[in-house]
Amino acid sequence: MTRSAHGMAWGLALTLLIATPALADIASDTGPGCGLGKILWGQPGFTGKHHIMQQVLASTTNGTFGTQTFGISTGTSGCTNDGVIAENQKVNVFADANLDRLRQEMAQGQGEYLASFASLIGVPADRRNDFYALTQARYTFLFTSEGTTSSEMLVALNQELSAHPELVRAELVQAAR
Amino acid sequence: MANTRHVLAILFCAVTSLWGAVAGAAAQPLSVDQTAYLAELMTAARDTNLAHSRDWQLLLHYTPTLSGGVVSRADGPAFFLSPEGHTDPQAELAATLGKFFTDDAVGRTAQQAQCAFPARYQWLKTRLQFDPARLPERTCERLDRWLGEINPAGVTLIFPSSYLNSPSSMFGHTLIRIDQRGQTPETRILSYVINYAANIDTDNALLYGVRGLTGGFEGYFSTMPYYLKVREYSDMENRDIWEYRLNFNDAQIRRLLLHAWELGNTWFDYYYFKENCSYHLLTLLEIADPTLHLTDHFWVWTIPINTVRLIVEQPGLVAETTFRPSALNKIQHKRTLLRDDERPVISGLIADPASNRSERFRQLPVDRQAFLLDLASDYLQYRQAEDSYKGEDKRAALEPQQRVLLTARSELKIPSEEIVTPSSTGPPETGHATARAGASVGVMDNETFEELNIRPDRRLVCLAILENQRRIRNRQGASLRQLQRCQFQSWRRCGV
Repeated sequence: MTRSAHGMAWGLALTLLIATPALADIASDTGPGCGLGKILWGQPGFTGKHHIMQQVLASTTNGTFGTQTFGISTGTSGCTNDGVIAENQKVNVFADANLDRLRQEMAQGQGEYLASFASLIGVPADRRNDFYALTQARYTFLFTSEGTTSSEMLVALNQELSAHPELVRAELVQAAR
Repeated sequence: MANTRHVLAILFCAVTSLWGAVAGAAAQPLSVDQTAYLAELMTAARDTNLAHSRDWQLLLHYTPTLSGGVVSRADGPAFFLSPEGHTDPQAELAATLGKFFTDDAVGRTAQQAQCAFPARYQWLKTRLQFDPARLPERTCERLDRWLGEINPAGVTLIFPSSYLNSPSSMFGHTLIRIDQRGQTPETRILSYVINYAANIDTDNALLYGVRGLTGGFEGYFSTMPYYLKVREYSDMENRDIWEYRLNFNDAQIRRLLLHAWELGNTWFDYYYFKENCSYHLLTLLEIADPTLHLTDHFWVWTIPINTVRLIVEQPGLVAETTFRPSALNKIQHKRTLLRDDERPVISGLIADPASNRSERFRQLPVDRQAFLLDLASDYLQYRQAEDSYKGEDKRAALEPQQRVLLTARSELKIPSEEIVTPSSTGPPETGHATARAGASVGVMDNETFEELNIRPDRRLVCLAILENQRRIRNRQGASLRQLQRCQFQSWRRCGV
């Protein structure tokens, strides 16, 4: 499935949900929408269910990856533009790279990764505590099994937030593409 | 796969050189007025000896040669707009000025010269007082987008501390973080770092060593979100990180970033001892503030901790120091907060997470239950990080237990208390000083690594650590191949 086809499929899916908030570029079930894993870590035999710890290590120590994707002023490369994460991929990449920490902090109701995540998806400062309480309360809905991927979690979170529009900035509530 | 990358790298270089030649040949000719104005600018530049000023030398990374001339440390040819640019500052300045007038796409990044080399442009514009009517300023969309994304408000030096499990990391590593506007302590991890690292294109451990020492790899600058680095250093390698917020004003930060953008056009041959990550980061700091003289202090080799020490010693340069404990450090600190009657409970939780449903556990105060569950899941995460080296299935083996712990934790419905882990060693620069290497190669005094006091020849330390590492892995039942890979991965750092 090409990327644009993916986009259209999700656009269609999103039209079925009520006023979905900021998580507009929800990844498909096979991994982050921009195929970050494949581009960055180029593991032979890459499957959708990758695990981040090993790949974070491989990704940031392997200089080759660095220059092709994160090299300064190297042009567009899937998820990055001249070495910085593309705007519409920030949430996906963050969630994917930090899933272990994020899920732990969601269970704990506080933390640096959770706070940064909230900032990325546009939770207003005075709503942060409510957001943390929500993710804690709905933990098993967000993470339905031990193998829940970041994309699955984001889809579930998107659904959850559509019932709590006050937790995201009004201007980020978008109609489906 | 390494071969493919190597071939691609060669092809890329060939195409770039060809492009350079073609671009040169197809260069847009200047109009009469442009030619006249360029001549005026060149005269003014020569009169004020701009080509030999410190600023120009820094921007082009020139260093003196024994024969009295200069040579640039930059090795990628697309960094130079003149064919003689590598050794002739005057020619490079003239060629740079000339390219500002044209529409030619220059550099590896194929932009107009003002946008490919914005630091040079801004500096020359200021020194020579460009007349915008005769030399119009271009808009640089890609650059502006990049700067907007980085959203700079400050610069912080990042020092992941010594990592004894890796010979190349035993002296630490340095990189810088560009703090964002509106950043809070909790959102630090979202800002971007600028990192210099070697592009490793071999799997052979011996070649890795040899090439790393002899400039056989190319080093590149890259940017990435800080959280990727925190995960790597703090969670996977269990290294403490020290953050030194630097006192740079907006203009200095901008100059640093504009030059970092320029560096996307080139690479530097990577020398583990001298021109490593720390050396090149010092050059960035000097460009931000040319009154700083940092690289002058490092003649034979550049040891990261010594560059940190030098930076801390500069009057007024470091505004604040922050300690970021590693994952393991946090676990160890939390263990000291356990009450005596909780010790058997935590062991039980780790062995069998389902024991959180027991009466014994449920009788504890809720905040203690939360604390214990947190510590247990921290510990599992630590184990999983270790296991990830052994393979994905090993790492995944602990997922069911992790799930039990996290689900139970989420049901407690209270936020965890924030626990501050103090540093047991103090900032690394307060450790014993290393002696200046001077002319005696291979001698080092009193380098303190955390609790270890070592004073040997660097090579002996490396050998000792490698041997120790090999013994540990051997005990864990690693195969020889795994040992080699482990060794190899360890060397991929600031060092080789």
